[in-house]
Amino acid sequence: MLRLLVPAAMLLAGACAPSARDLGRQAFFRHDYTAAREHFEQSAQNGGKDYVLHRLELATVMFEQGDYEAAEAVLLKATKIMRGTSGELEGTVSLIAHESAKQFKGDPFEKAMANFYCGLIFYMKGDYGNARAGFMQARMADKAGSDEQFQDDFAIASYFAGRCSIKMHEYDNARVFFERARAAQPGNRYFAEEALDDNVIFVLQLGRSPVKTRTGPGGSLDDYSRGHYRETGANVWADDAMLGSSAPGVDLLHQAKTSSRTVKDTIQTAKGVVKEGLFAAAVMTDDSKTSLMLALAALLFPSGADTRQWDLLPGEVHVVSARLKPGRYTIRIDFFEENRLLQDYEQVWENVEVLDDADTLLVFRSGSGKRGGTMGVTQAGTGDTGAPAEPAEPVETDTPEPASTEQSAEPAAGETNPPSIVGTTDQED
Amino acid sequence: MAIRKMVMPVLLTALAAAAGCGSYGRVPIDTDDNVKDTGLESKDLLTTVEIMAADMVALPEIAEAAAPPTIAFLEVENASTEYIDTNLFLEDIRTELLQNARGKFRFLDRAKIEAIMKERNLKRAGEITTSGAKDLLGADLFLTGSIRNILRADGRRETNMMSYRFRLVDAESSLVIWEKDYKAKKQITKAWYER
Repeated sequence: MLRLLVPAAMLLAGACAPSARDLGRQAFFRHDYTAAREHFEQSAQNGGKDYVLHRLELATVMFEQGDYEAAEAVLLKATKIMRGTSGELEGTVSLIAHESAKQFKGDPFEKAMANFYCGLIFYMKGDYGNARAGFMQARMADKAGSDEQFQDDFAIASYFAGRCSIKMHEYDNARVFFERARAAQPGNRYFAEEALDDNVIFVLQLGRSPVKTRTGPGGSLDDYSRGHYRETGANVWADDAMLGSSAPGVDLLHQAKTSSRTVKDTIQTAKGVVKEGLFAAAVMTDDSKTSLMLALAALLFPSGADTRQWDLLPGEVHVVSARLKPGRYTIRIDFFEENRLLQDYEQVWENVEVLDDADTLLVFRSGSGKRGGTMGVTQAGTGDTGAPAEPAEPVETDTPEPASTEQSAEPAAGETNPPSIVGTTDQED
Repeated sequence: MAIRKMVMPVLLTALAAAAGCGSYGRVPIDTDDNVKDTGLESKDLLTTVEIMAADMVALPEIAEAAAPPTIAFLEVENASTEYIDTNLFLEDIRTELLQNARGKFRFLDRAKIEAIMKERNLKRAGEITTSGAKDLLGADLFLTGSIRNILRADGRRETNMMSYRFRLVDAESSLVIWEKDYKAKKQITKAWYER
């Protein structure tokens, strides 16, 4: 008996030891991106059914580090698999085994965000064709997986697709994209006509991703709840002049909860009902041996929903835009919880370059204790440090303008419902 | 009896593991990509370029030209919903055309023009050796193009019509001497459990 204890204890210790992925997540949330990347690179060496999830996590860290080339390469691999179909065998396996037996491909909002990040990276490079492809793929992923009334509400992707279309001189397409963005987020002043001349765009990732849990009979269905975070908005400053308060571009909890149910959810529900039925039968049976067997069958019956998720995503994505003279600036971002300034969330970034021949896209992420630093030059260009083009009006820092959280479920007046053509780019010259 | 109770979980575990097993190996370059989607595959690019090369070589303006015309590439615009490395696309076209052209046209590398001008200046200044001065060639023709698509999704079914449009433009007169649109259509039906 003693001879079995040592190997059993070792096995138990191995099972309880944190995985490379767990270590990576811990490092990520304490903003140690170097350590996080090392751990995620290790976990990404494992293939199998979590291939895509490992790569999404790795790409997230690369993105936070500003290593956009590496993030692009990893994201493109991941998005190709997320979009494709794996065939019927995997589904059959997950039918009789746990739902998590199949290849992870993400929920619609995760597919949308993977493509959204691709779009941002290409936009930073000035590759507006591929950037627009990313934003359109994000819109399509959201549309394909949403209930009909919530299709085309990934506003920030529509906004950026519109900006790309302007760069490509496709003004009719741009107009349609901006209309869709405004319909989904009518309160966002940065989607308005007047703001489209702005040459600096700040994308602010707030909070933590929605949390995926099991619900329904036998825990057979998945559901989402708000991730735990405090920040609800931000103010952006350039060289001590206020540029603006952030406005929401997309709420990922809303996207997660408006995903449509499919055939697999019906089958999962049936599995859950069977599991609960077995438990009930075990309770009601008089014969103890039969009761034990039924209880064991119920325990072993795999009805649990797949709760794997890309939990390094933010909870919301906000946007601020402004017009600044080319040059280098110190950018300060203040984050707020309703009207209360979150002191330890302040970020100050030095040496931020605004280009003179292209839009400057800057992406930031909120986090307690994340101080900022010196921005690396992500785009070519030189310029002397200059003042903002127009002096910003001072704004009370303890009463920021409340961010609009309205979601438009209906198309704007005069606009028809989204057609079945989810991505039309063919256009007469 | 105890063994029978173990069979089902073991069998399920084995099935799940089998579903996750991968493989590795080199494959021919025109093999279909493993991931089934309606997006661009390497095979699509190769097929398009091969057809285009054959079309261009057969053009009367090229086949009957007194001297092989010089062609410079302008950009290929990606106006589709697919991620496309347009530089790679152009390089593939140029390589294929050179292999199939049989001396019918000559290509200019305008992407390297700055490096070429620097080298020429150094030679003319006597700072590096030269095998003799040559004229910098002007382009007789520009090759340009665009990639577009129409993507439709209806429930689990997705259809993607890709359009690769290329044209040759006279660099002197701006006359379009050739233009062609290559189309390819793909359709997939996603598995019942996918969304």
